[in-house]
Amino acid sequence: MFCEHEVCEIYDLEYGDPVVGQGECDGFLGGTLDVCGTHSLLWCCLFWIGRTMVLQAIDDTTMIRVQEASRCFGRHVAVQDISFDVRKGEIVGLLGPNGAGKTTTLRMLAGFLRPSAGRVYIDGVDGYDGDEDVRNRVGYLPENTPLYGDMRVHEYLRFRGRLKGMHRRELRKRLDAVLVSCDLRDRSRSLIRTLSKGYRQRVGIADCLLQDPPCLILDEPTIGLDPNQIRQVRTLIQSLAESHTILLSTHILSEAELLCDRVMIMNRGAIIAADTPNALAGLRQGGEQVVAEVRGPAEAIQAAVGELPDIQDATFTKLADGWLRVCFMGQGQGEGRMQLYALLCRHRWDLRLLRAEVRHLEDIFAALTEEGGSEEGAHA
Amino acid sequence: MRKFMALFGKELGSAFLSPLGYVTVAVFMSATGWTFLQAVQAQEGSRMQLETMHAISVLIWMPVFITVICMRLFAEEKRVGTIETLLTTSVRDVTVVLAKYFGAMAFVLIGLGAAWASLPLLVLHAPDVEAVDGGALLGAGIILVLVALCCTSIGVLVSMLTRNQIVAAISCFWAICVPLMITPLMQTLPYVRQEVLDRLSVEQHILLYTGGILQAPPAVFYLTITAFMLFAAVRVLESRRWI
Repeated sequence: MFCEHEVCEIYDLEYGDPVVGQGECDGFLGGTLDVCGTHSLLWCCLFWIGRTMVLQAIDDTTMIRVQEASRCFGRHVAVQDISFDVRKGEIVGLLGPNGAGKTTTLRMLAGFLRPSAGRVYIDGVDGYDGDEDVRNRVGYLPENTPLYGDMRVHEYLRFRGRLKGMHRRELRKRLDAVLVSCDLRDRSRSLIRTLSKGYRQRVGIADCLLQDPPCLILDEPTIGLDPNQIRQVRTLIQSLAESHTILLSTHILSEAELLCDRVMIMNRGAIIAADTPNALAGLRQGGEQVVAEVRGPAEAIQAAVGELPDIQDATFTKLADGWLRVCFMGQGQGEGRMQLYALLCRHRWDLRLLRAEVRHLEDIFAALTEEGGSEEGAHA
Repeated sequence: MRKFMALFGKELGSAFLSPLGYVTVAVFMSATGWTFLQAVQAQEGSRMQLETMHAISVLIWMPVFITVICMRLFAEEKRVGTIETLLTTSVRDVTVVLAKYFGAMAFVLIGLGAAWASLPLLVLHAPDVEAVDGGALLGAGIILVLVALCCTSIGVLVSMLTRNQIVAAISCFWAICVPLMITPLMQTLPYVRQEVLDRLSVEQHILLYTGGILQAPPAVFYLTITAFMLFAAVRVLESRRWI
């Protein structure tokens, strides 16, 4: 692949941008390709086609790919160097305290903000430098569901459909479908400003679903709703999970545990942990918190328990009925409990309670974010 | 074009969905009518044309009228947050700005048209008033539309710079007043030639156009400002993506 022309344009292999300008042609260089000016258009086309094919071939199962993305607002770094993938059909939760960078991350994915550095791919297409239709592959529900209050529900959805470039017939069909799926048929002629917050949330989700995009990005979809409305919106999201990839941010950790296949915890603009909720629950503790109630000579029990290798931080409390409550951190997958049980059997001491406390995502979340993100979590 | 029409229709429609649009046009017509009446009474016996007085009466209230229309264009979208849903669809920034501009401009034209039509209606129903010159009336209409194009573009830009409607209203009003008051403002500066002042003066442009002289420079002047303001508005909207 050598060119006879002396003056050529040199193109970046990865992005197809001219990176060096003009120079002498000497064929392929490391990371750059010399292309003579007369053939540059053809080569550019080939690069873009090849690049798109390569990106699609990398991983057909990836819906969202974020590569070392950062976003700065002046000197403030809102998101710093984050990378993650969301596979097709997954529900992934983005957790973090206020100001952690969740909304900025979602805005970058939705195309509202451009990353200061790094890249964002939606279904294998660059979120910014790809074609504009990439935004039609994402349904985005911003925080607090902004809507035009002086429009009726069906007017608003029709307007949004036209804005997304939908044809009249297609729009009519999809409008009926989303009104049914979001249970808005009875309220389709209501003014949006008269709707309850739960219904407004449904209108926002219906808007996301209008074009039936494969990917949904929901920024705190249940914030400010009452428990019944939260349950309704959760059920709606669960029903959508069958056919969509969903990335949602939330403050409600039980919601993330309930809905998400995977959660990512953000703090100070970085992802400090990412895994399944169950795996995260075991991530920080390195064992389990165990409570036992035993009966026998207290001093002997304390001495014996203290010698068990897989039991740490044991505390003893004498109960009013003469039993002794033992709380400890058990190592491994129940080894501590088994050793305690064996000890009690050996000495024929009584046991009426032996329970491993379940650690919820709340504990992990608090532990990770209160540390200020200084400690490196596990990155999936 | 479908996206442009959707936004344009929404923008124009929203003006008439609430009473604000009707009230604004009614107040604008009343104010221009009252000012015109005062001007006619004050200028009795003078040689100033009726069409010129009417055009200046409309011009006096134009900043207020356009401010009311433009102040909410982007400021309201930013305050409510709908700008985020708007800009995350596949619609281009330039389409958003142009659709909002032409939506606002269409409403301004409705108001201007109503105010402008009041003079021929008055002549038609008041036998005491001498007939107006059709050409002068057309000239007045053309120059008023040109000024409105320019002022609305300024309103669009200013509305984009803030999310507070009050701030947007005050800024819009003063920003729109600048081209209308450019002559008195420049008269305060030393070494400004009268010829320059005449070329920039809106009053002079109105006198020219109502006198039947449809010169190109005033039209180019207003259209240039319009194009620059809309270009700036698009750049401001794009600035959220700047790194």
